Amino acid sequence: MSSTLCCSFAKNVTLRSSDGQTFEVEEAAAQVSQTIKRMIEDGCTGSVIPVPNLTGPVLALVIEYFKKHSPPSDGCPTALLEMEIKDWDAKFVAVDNDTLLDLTLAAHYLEIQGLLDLTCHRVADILNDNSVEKIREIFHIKNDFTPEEEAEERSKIQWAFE
Amino acid sequence: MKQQRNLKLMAKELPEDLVTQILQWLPVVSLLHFKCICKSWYALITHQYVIRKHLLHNKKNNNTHLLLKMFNRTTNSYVISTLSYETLQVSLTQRAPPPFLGIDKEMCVVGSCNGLVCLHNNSYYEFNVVIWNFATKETKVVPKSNLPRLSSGHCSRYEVIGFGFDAKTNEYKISNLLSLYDPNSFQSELCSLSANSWREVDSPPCVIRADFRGIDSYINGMASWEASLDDWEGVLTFHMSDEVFLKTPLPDDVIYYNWRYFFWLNESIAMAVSIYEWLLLEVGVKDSWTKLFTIGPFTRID
Repeated sequence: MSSTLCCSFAKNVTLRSSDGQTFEVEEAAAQVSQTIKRMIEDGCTGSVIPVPNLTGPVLALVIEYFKKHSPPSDGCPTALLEMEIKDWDAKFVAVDNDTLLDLTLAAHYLEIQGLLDLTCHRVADILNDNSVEKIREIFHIKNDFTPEEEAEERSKIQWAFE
Repeated sequence: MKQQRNLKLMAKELPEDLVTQILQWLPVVSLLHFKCICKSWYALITHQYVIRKHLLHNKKNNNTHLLLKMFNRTTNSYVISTLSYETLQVSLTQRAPPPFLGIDKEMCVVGSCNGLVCLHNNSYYEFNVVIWNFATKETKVVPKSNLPRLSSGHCSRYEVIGFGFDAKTNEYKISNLLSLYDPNSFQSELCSLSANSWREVDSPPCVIRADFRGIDSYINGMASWEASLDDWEGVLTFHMSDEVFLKTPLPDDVIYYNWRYFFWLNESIAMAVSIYEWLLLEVGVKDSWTKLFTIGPFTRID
């Protein structure tokens, strides 16, 4: 992985995915994740930090997120920068459902609140745009209600389906 | 706290806690639909912990809503809408609960908190109060109050209902203050939804003049009314947690005006008098009335 260093004091850490790929990233950027932040504080920086719940391609995406969301070196982010990040975020989660769920799980595991809100909101939007039948199909969810049970449940909230 | 399980989405196992976070971003009506997806979704959506998380999340992220009651002459029934406080756009319109619950043409909205609306049938002969979940249309009929309906020996009676949330005990409470006049007599009762029964509380001698308008009687867990007694005039407030009544006198400059309009503004009691708007910063403290702004000047209104 190539990384452009904006200042010569930036310290790097190495993250290793479940499939053994390694990525070098600025320590400040990686600390967007509370989980990684704790590991660095516990003194894991000397060696490689394992991220066993993420595969290489997902970790690569998360690192992109880190870089975009690392605290700016000059302190406070400007309104313009915030708008740009918002745009970037929207594009970042405009991915296929499989990748989106991977990113959601990654945000949960690595405790990245910003990414967690972003991905959860996006999954919710997808759910909201679809019918119950379509959701079962998209997310491969097996309907374990009997037809009678489902009909009864639906009749209780008939008004909501109108 | 609930036991953690996983929900399967595509080929992935999502912890329940994570799915709960996804559900927080959905409107209630969608959650009602999604109960039908499968049994594990049903169990999650109807779980107390998940409902509470959803409520807290939406209180933090949504702006306040106004409630608007309208009578539909075609269907001969009431509809209630929520409007965004900022844009005045209607976000949801629901038909009021069916009249067999005792809430009919005399229906009035007592107040709302946490998406629950307290409805009262303003009738001389009957006591009907219903708590109505605006988003799910579920209802709960409040037991009849023990206070006397027909009051022999008195010339008139006035009954006011209050609704609020007691954050200390996590309970919804309904207060009923009955004033009988000539000769004067005052009684009040309190019902917590969890106990589902009424008990007496101390009531102050006060003549209630009008109900407050607006919503969110919850925020400070208080219900308030305009009240007076002899030459005292002010606001009577019932504190849902402490279960006591508090009296706040009006500021001296406004007692000469007959027309006063009380309402809730954000988390405080507000009052419009003449062209001024006042805000009560601390209930019970007369000096905490603050002149907020002056309305106008008005141009000719056609």
